Amino acid sequence: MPRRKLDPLPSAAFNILLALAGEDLHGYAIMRQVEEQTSGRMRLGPGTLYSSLQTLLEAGFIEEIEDRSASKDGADRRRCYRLTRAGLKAVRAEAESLAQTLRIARAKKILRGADA
Amino acid sequence: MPEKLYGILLKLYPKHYRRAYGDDALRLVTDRARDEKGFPGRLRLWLDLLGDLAISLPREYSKALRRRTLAASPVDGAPLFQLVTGRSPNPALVFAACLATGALFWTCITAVGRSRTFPARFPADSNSLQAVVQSDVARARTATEEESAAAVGVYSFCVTARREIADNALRPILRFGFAPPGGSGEALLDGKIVRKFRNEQRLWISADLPAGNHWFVVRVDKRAENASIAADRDFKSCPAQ
Repeated sequence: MPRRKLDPLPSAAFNILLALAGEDLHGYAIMRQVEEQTSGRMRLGPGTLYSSLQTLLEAGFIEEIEDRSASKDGADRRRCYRLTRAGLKAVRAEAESLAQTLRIARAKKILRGADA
Repeated sequence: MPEKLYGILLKLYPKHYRRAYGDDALRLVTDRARDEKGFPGRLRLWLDLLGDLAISLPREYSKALRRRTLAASPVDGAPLFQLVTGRSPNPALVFAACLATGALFWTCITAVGRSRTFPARFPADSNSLQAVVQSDVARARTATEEESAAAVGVYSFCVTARREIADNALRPILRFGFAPPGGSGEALLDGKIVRKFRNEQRLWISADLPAGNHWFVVRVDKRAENASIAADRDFKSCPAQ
């Protein structure tokens, strides 16, 4: 059932998966990475971020891992997330779909600088 | 400061979400507050947080509701009922349930009908008083057999006066209404006749009352259309009889 909810991937979920495609990250780092990769257009609030993470976890697109950077006493331990094989497949499918849409937009010269 | 305020706002989220991600969400806000200082930074932070709250709060409650409805196992130890979809209820069971409900309803109606010999209606404001309409009891207690044969309706009320009450016709203790041409009979207070009336459509009874319990009995040749008893701070219900 969660898969149906994530087909197509919501924008926040897609960007989170994209952020995790490079490395394993904790919540705040995911938020910053998403902000960076969308040029500041998307800043995920805690409600949206953790709600999306929960949905992605339930769908099996990401998994929780130990925070390697945490100190031994665990005082600054955070939950980190890693992209799974299913998540990679989903984000790739979504990216390809977007790329196809982009090709159409280019062909129709909707994009600025599409001629270039 | 933003962390403290957000900690309060976090309580608006469903318990399930708070347990799972409350600490992480608070930590994210702490991190952002540390990194985004100055007025523009704080303004942006709060705009983000409030916007996020407006979007995510309904979604989380919707999720929690869906989870409660669909979950097969109890949430937070509370018992749940699972919805059965795609299966119609057994027609025989529905029919039996309808019959049982009808029988129960009929039993209740019959029981209520038997308990009230005379149709006396009381306004809502007399609920605080124990106004008793007991025709058979009152007839046995207050009248001889010959008298009761003549009286078609006997109404009996017990009232406790909290203080001494002066006779005031503008502030009656009991009110009765009779269909035209009106009812005839007499009103007794503690066994003594205080009023005789003839063809009264609207009967108001007032009397001098010392503090304490008092029995009013009204014997009348026809049934009352309605009856009410005074309900204010000077009167209260009698102790259980």
